[in-house]
Amino acid sequence: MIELKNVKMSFEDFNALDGVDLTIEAGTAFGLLGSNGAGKSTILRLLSGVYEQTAGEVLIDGEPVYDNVSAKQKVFFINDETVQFGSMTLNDMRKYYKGFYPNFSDEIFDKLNGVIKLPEKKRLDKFSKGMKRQAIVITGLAACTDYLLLDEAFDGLDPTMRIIVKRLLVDAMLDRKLTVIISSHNLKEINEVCDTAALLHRGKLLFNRDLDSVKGSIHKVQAAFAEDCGEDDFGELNVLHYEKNQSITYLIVKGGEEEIRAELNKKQPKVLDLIPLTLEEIFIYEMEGMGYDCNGID
Amino acid sequence: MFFYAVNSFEENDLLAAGRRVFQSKRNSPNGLNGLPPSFDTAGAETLKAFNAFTERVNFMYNIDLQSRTPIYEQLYKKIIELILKRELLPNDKLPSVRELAKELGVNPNTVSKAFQLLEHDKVIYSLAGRGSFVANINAEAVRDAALADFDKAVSEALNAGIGKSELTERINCADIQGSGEIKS
Repeated sequence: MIELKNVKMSFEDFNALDGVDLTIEAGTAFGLLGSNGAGKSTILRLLSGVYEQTAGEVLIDGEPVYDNVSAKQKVFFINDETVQFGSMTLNDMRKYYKGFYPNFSDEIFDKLNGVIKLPEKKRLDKFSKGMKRQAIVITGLAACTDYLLLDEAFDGLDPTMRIIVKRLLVDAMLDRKLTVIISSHNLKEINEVCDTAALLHRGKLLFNRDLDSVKGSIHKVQAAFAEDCGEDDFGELNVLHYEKNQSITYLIVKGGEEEIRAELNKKQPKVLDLIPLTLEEIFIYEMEGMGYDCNGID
Repeated sequence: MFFYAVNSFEENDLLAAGRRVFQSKRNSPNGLNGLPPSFDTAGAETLKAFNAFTERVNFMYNIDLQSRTPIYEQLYKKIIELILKRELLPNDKLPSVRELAKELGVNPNTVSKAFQLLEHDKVIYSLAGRGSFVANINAEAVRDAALADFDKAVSEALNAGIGKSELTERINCADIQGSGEIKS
């Protein structure tokens, strides 16, 4: 289990994380969502011991992470900056990581590279961007850690590689209860792979929930009412967005389908349609609520 | 896919066998009639299994990952639908959580969630170490669920301004495909 307790992280005068409380249960696939600069990568770097938090606690299975080998051996961080060791070959990199991760599996590594066929004796800085990414991904999977952190998860991987990685993650989650933490802007991918997700904005956590409950938590309503209704007539509901076009009222309402339906039925609508929002729409409306709005630009 | 193949020798063997049957029939000088009857019986069995397998794969892919409906809910409904259509019969084995998660490219916890819900609703049962199987489902409960879905769809259609006569007509047309009642 991963726990962040009131974690603050400052870089000079910039607060990257501003009091984040977050618990990630073992065996989940956890998605970290957020705008650019929200603090996603900072969290991953804290979890892998790259940074030391300014305040608060970062714990893996109850142990502090920073400067603690036994905690760090449980975590593999697949960085978005691909490989750090340009002068190494793939074989050198394997040896290097094998020295640190006690459960490193040559079998998995060979099986994976049997599919991808990366050259083992070429310098990594001669690799293409996608190949570098593949190299670090297969090393990360072969390290057989309890926690796998993927920054900008599937960027730079081709569709076949994505499927391979997803299938390996399924195996690892079932066989050794791997916990995967993925940061991404690709909501489609998060939706498919993750069961829980957190949304960050400017160093604060907006929500941290089971994805299925997130998806049912905001609805788009289209309705026509017999009597003229204005924005103020929906005071009982948590309305995020209101729009009226002639007789049709469009609403974005926070809440479950049944409660919204029950409330709106009191106004005896002539037409009432409710659809849940997609993850992408939820993301945009939540951000809008925080004053991060794409409508201000066009 | 490679990793899937490693775990499913049987299915690949089946596929290969099915292809062999097609090939030998195509290559035989007298076409379909040129094969000895015994081969044909064996071939027919293999073909049946082959078709069952491809059908299964098709059903697996039949989930909309872009949908607004949660994936576990789609899977839950899909399996009930297959049971109602009698494509899955009582005591049939369901694919494992692992197989389904890999096939669909989704999180195994999501598939587990659907299975748990199905088990809770007594649609399937599981045997430790052997997998999940289709239960002898309570026909009454399934009927109620189907009718509730129907009522919802009807009220949505009426809201959309579709007349009752048009809906009735659709029901009459749909009757041709009706598969009768479910054994309880």
